Amino acid sequence: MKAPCIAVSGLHRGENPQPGAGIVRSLRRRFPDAHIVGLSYDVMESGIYVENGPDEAHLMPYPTAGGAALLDRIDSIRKRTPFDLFIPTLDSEIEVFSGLSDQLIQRGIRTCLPKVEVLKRRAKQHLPALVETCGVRIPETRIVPDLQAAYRAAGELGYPLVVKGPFYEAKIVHNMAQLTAAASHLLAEWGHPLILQGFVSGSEFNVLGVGDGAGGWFGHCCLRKTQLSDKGKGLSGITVNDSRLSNLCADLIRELKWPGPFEIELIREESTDDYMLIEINPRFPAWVDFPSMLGVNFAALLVDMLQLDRVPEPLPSCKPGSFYIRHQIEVVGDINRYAGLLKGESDPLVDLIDETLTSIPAEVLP
Amino acid sequence: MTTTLDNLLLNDRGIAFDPVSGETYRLIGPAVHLVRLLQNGADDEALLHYLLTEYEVDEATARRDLDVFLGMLEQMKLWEARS
Repeated sequence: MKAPCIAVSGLHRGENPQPGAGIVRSLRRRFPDAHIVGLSYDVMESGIYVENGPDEAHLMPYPTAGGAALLDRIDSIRKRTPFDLFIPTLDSEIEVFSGLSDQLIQRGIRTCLPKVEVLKRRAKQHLPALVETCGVRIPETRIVPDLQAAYRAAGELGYPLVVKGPFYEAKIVHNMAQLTAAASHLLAEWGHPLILQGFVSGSEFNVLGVGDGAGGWFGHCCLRKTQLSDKGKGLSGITVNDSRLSNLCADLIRELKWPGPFEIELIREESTDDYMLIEINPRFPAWVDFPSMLGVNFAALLVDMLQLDRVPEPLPSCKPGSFYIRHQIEVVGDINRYAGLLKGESDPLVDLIDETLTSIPAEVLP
Repeated sequence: MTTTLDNLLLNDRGIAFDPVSGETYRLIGPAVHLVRLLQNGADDEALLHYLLTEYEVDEATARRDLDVFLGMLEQMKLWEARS
């Protein structure tokens, strides 16, 4: 069988890691001969430079540039390397690529993206409507367009509360001054609406899986976050096996008929012991390679789905009690590779080096 | 009735893991064996007998310590006293 040629985006690790580098590691375990094409939004994405990382990397325009710009860039990359499978990993690009499904199919690129309307149903601002259909609890929520409405909502909810942007970031605020700062920042950074939620105290749980698009899933892995960074990112986690948690997530996936990768974030409320739904992410999480190290390879399963056009074998459960700890290391970059990428050239292309190095203004070098 | 304690995964070094909640506990001294006994269905008298046999302690002290230990398990929602 021909080795797959797979494009993966979101390769940065570090303080706020993206899923792509973990996906590449998982794919390498199962498909050592795969040709992996990294699609990066920044030349400083650390996953470009890791050992056994992507075979080549290319800079992409930001998703805010729009669908046409992304497709143009993909067309130009595929002239050099005609990848046929694509795993997008960032919320902002999934939003755009989901609306480009037909164009991707026309180009012979297989990917697994939810339809725009399904994607919308799991967006933070639409979760209250979603949970009404499947009996899952969420923290008390207000969706507001601006700061004045945020003050009114805070008056109803009381402090502390959590204020979130529509795509990224969540901040806990304890008073009006903190709300003003957080809401202003989120509106400036991500636009409206703002999502305000009552603060829920309890342990955080994440569930990773791959939906079959018909209401079921090919497998899932539940973990409890055991250490959080000051940005609320999981620095460590341990696998658990709670049928109540699994059933609740299965209900959500059934309701959405979710196709492809997902991560569901929940908090188990201390006072009631109930799980509260916080977020449904339309992609693999940054810890996707952890279950793959336990023999439960979700990224490889996705490639099976895409490559073979047949129903893959469901994955086994992850045994409870295995844990991960996020471990940061330095990776070595080469200014020549950096230069090639900065020029919009493919990487690695060592023969470009002398020419590109001399053409880079000193102020853009790291 | 199945309690959280029944599901605890316990190793000889006294590390106990609740596979449902993801909580980890460290048990020291006689607690490891007492939990094993409880998981095997031992009653309070069997627990007391274990303490009196294995440790140089008078019955009143052993009974008091056992009550404290079982009370802690209840407080942590790991165990429910048998009615």
